[in-house]
Amino acid sequence: MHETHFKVGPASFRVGSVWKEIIDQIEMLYASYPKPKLTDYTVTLDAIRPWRRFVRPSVAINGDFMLPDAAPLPLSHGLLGAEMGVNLQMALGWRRQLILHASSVEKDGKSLLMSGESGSGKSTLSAILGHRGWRFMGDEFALIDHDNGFVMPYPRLISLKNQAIETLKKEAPHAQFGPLMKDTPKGDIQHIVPPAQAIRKMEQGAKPALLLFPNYGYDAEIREMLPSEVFMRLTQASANFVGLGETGFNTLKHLVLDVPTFEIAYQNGDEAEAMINQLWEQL
Amino acid sequence: MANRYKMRNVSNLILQHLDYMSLLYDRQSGITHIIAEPAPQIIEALGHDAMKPSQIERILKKQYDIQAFEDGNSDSFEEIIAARLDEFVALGLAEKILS
Amino acid sequence: MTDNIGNPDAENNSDKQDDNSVNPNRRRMLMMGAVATSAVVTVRPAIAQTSGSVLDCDIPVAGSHGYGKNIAPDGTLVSPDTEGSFHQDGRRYTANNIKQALSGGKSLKGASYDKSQAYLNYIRRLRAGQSGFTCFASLQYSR
Repeated sequence: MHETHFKVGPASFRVGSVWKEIIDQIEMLYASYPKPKLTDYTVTLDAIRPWRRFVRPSVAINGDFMLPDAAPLPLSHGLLGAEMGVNLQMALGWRRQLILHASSVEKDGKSLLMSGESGSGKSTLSAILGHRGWRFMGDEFALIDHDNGFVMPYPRLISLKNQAIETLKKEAPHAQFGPLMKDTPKGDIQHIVPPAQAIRKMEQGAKPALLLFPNYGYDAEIREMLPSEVFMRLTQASANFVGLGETGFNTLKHLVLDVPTFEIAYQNGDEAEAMINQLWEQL
Repeated sequence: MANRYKMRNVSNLILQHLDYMSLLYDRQSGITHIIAEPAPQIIEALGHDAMKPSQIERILKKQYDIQAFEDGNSDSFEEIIAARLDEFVALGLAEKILS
Repeated sequence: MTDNIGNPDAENNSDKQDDNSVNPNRRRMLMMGAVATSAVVTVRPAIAQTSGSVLDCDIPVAGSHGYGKNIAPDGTLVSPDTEGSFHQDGRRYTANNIKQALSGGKSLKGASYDKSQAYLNYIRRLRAGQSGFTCFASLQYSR
């Protein structure tokens, strides 16, 4: 068994695998992340049967928290398996903060949250803004602190899908990219290492100042959202709201009451950036 | 129609107004409900007491200008209040005291 | 601020009253809805959310409050002689059909693209107390 350790924001992981190549890929991409001695979660990428380590290698994702019936992946998609395994530990296990499926960036000590379905563009937008004067905080999970309502960074490797891959190659040609994984269950996937300062400042939270629900592929429009609609959407964007009970209720309630929220529709990154800057300046 | 209703464990409920909807968190079950008008106002009118829908209607009429939202809807306010209370009963938030 | 349930002063100092009244001398309006219009949406765990759980409801376009009116492209109810507006006959659309249409995939059953867009805008404008609102609210959960 080969293994590696890394820390993303407040959470630390041990990833083990019978395949050295998966661990090598992870070590290369997570090279600039802290290496914790103690870990919160273990994820293992095993062969589904002993002989399937060699014959049509097929990766089963296991860990402290598991979903039954998770489909195995071919070895060439092993890095995606690691990403899914790590996500699952956070989604099912993490309780220190409220977890929202949202990307986040920071400027002047205040954070911008973007939530939405997969395909809304929240992840791509955060990656782009991270190269346009904002500090990238996370592309997938925003951790909301129960005590002060701050957004805590979770700057894992950015997981780019389909057209976002080309978009980011133009935006950040010198960034470090992982291997291109074609035709995964989520489409084509390629990871990109976040900007260095995102990793360096990954323990530095920021008070949320603006929450957006982006909608990619529609004519430009900005619509203010009512707190009840925002609350409803965020309960479904949260992996642990129900499990956190009253603590989670209070944390989400304050976020919804305190942070102005808009839905923005846009056709491309430049259009979205202009809307975001406009809303940011109006704060 | 003469049944009375009472909220269960009022001290375990947190009611938070947002806009035309409110949040209702039930500490006992750990469940959050998002409730629309007039449900939050009915809960406030009831407080710790047991009341008939007609009593609740009288309290609400003192506090609010009551409007039927849907034209052509012939439900009486009392019937609507009873329907909302029955929803609370079904969710385990209230109890019906049969007369 | 959390309301204190059962507090006898609550009727005088509830924050809702303060927030919503433009004129402090005017009493706040309370929308009663209808017997059949549910007023509760219960939050379910996101991870256990399956597409089947909320997709068995339907939404009439338009509800009874739109009787005899047409629907404008922006979803508002207008008089039937308004140019560019669409006729409606209260037909009910399933949550599943609406969900697919909202995500941009399909039009509402039997409706042209433009009519479908107008109807969807009507659905987006639904407010508490109107038929179909709770169904629309629960759709937010499965999108």
